[in-house]
Amino acid sequence: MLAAVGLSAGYGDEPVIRELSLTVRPGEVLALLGPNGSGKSTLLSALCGVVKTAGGEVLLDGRPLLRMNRRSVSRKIAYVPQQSVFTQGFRVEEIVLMGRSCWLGPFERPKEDDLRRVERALEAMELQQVRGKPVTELSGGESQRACLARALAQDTPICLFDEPTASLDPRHALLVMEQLARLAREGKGVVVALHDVNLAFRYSARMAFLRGGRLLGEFLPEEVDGRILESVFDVRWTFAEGLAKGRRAFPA
Amino acid sequence: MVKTSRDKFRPIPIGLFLVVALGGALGFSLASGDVPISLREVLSILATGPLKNAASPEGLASAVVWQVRLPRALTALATGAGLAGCGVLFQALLMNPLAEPYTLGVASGAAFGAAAAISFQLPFLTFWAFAGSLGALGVVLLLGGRGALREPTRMILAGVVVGSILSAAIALLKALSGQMMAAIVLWIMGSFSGSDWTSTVWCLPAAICVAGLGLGLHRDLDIVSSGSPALFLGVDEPRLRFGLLLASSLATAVFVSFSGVVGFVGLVVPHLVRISVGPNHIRVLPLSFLGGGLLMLMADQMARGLAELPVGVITALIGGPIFCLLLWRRA
Repeated sequence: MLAAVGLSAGYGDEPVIRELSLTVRPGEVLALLGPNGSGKSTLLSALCGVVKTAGGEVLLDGRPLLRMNRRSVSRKIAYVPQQSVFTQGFRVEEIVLMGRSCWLGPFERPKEDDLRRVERALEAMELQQVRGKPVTELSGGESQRACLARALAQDTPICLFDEPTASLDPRHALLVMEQLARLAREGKGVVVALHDVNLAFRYSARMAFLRGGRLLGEFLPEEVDGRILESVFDVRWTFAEGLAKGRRAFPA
Repeated sequence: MVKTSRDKFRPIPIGLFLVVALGGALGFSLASGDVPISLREVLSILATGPLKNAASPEGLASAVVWQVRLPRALTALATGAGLAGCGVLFQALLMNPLAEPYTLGVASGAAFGAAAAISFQLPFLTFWAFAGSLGALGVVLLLGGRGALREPTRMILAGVVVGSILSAAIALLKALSGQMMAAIVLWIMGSFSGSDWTSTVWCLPAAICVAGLGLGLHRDLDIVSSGSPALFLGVDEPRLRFGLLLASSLATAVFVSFSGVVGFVGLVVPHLVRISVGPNHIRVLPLSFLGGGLLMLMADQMARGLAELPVGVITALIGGPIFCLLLWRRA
């Protein structure tokens, strides 16, 4: 289990997120929502232990994350950043195999099991057709899916995704969210930063709202109403009511 | 599977070709020279080991091979292989295609140390060159500070600044040294004419260390150079960068101290290999070693045949057109 306890963290002298407490539970998708600059990406980076903490701590299975070495952390937590810029023309399958590197020793070759996981990840992200293509020649959406496949191949109990659907077409956005839901069904703890409230309604078990670096609250999707959304995003919302998972919200 | 341009070139045939070419170049290097020795004789001399009596014709040939040509060829081979390997590491760790083993001021430091030693007629020139390399590297690391390990650009800038200051200092030494100026210029341009077993004993292990470190950490190098978020994939990037840049700069300091500043190999050989087999370091590193060693051995052979022309000039003259050709074919 991963938990932020009274966490303040950021890049300069001023922390971006302040006194924030949050728990990532196994078997559920936790959606992080908030306006631009609310601290979603910083929180995700801090949950991986790569951002300077100004107070509080992140605990991974009860142990302070910052005292663990990077290899051990990356066997427990996979992270996909908002944007990835590839600087060398590695093939897509080589990029996905990089997800397995934290499980391999210095001179160890990838085993059958590693290659099988890579195959499954390529298949899950529908990348078989471009598996031999240099990543520098991919479209933005394909690049994003390659990064997601790398995280799937990493096969960690906790997976953090920063706006994974941002550069994807609607079909692939749904494909990715279905994969995230599958990960949760397999017992993994999934945290996903999203801008699309409706994807959060449909796929998350809990929704956490951030604003100005602070956690405004955590809610079940069916508890979220127009008042909450307005207080987070500063815009009125209308709802197309239906079943809880079928609810739709639109900025008015 | 989608076919890419690099599928045309397979690493194993290229590797085999380089091994055979390297063997041929080594044999040619041991056989040819002012005292011609046939390849058969060279093999027999190598098999019998060094003879103590140099007065006989066999003794003379043995002395030429064991005391002159073999240490020189092995030093050239190790220096070329090592510089190319260091070039691979620098380009990967600094994520900059223009990075080379001399990026962190090691060459300027060595050149300054050597120029000072020549100007002031100090003994142990190699020692002063090595001390100059380490001094320059130390200043670059101090200037870059801790943040430089997360931000390669800062380290490159520190290297450029230190290199520029040292270049100015070398120019000053040249201007003030009068008759010694030619000696300084020749040393800086690089040569293996002074190589002996001492240089081999230093350069060969340095090259092997670079190869071992690079191959052991090839996956981490792949991750860092690909632009992937290394920390999230289990690579302690600042630590990797510090460790490998320090190790390869020390190895470069060894090469430069013994042979002068031989340019081109560390910059271009990794590019040539990457164009041919892609960016994966498990392929790039061994092939760069073989390619760098071969290029340097051939360049030194030509330097010997051209009245000890500076070897750096020849590496650029051989490698440049090959690089242009590959770039043109790729385009």
